[in-house]
Amino acid sequence: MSVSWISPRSVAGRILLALGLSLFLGGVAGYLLGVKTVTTMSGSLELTPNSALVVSTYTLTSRGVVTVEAWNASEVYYVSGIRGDPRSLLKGLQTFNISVGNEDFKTDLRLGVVYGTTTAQASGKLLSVLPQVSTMLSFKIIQVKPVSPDHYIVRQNLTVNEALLVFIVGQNVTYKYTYQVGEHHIIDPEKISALGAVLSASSLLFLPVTGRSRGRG
Amino acid sequence: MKLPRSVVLAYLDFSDSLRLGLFDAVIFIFTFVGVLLSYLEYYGSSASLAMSILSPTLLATALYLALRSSAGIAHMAGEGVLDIYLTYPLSRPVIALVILISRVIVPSLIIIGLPALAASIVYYPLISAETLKFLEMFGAFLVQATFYGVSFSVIALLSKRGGTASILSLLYYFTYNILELILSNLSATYESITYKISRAMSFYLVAYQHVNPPSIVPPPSLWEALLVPGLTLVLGALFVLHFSRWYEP
Repeated sequence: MSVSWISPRSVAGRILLALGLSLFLGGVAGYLLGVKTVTTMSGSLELTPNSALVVSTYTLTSRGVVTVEAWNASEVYYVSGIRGDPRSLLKGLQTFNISVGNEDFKTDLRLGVVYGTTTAQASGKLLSVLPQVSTMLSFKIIQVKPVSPDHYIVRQNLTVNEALLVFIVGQNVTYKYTYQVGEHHIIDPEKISALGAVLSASSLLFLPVTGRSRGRG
Repeated sequence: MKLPRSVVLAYLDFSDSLRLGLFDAVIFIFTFVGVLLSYLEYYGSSASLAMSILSPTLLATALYLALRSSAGIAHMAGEGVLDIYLTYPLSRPVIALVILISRVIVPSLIIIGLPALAASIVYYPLISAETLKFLEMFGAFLVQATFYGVSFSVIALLSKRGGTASILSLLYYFTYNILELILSNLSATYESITYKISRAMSFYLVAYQHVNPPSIVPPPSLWEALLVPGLTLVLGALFVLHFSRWYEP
């Protein structure tokens, strides 16, 4: 009995089948369970006077770049240099008579980050209170300059266990949030090629399956 | 084209050493695990990727070599298949080398190589940037697997019984690893001799610290880098010598 070296029964064919199946199934499992490289969220919110939309990010196991874009905003501030979960800071704002609305946070372990939105409302003008809070809690609050009228972009690199809070003030604001696991992460996510794996798997599976047996066997 | 007799013998031996069943299950499971591990975490360097993917594969290779290769050699010796091999017009050292290649080196190369190949497909931009480092790690794991395989082959040749050879090989493997663990735990500092011996017993760890030098651990010295490859060569020579001089069918 002799078989083509690439038939399913030959060693080479069996190896190619194992490699192809592993890449295919591993790729599917990795897509469903594996690490993610980017997440986005967006929305619009009608804000009452003296309130702000707060977009928060807290990196757990990844490093990356947060980009928050805001439209129809009158002012945008961000607070950086915070270590730890920003939700405890938001709770702490209540001592300064700033009430925090419903929190809509998502913990994404595949991305290694906690992100979400909430609202903050002060009894007086919110932005006059924030500088006092920042001085007392020793973090920096920075005002963002608009890139065009009513359009603001905040882009910050975050390391592991670092938080960023973006305060968007306006009446009917629209925002877009992106967290990209970037070049400041352990590696550049571009170094993972899911497409390459799927293409290789397909071709590897194709070879032994189409390899024809020869001879009497 | 006429193939050399040694290649023909190796080809015949492959039909047993790589026969359908356990071999396919092992290569599929551990290649799948390799691909999955590639996706479950980010890896900053090809060396850390290789460590993560190939460490479980090394265990699988050792178990395969103990249960299939070692038992296979002992079975051949016990059932008289080696006697048939000895009728081939080949010298005994060549037959011994063919057996080592067919039973140890090629299965190890395939079982360790496939997950490495799959991981390098998933992570090809990283691997292509650090090909030599990845190959160094792959080579180190292959040497470690060969070391286990050659040790098991010597045990098999001496025991001549499949079941006994498997049990003794597994016992050898776990004793070796427990000894390494004990030596590592006994070490008060990274400079202590017990730590250095335990590190030298894992050739892939020496290679990893060569590729990715840690800040607090002293770099491996030359004797540490030569311990496992040296032992592999000594045991390989012992296998060939025993088969050539003292093996009685």
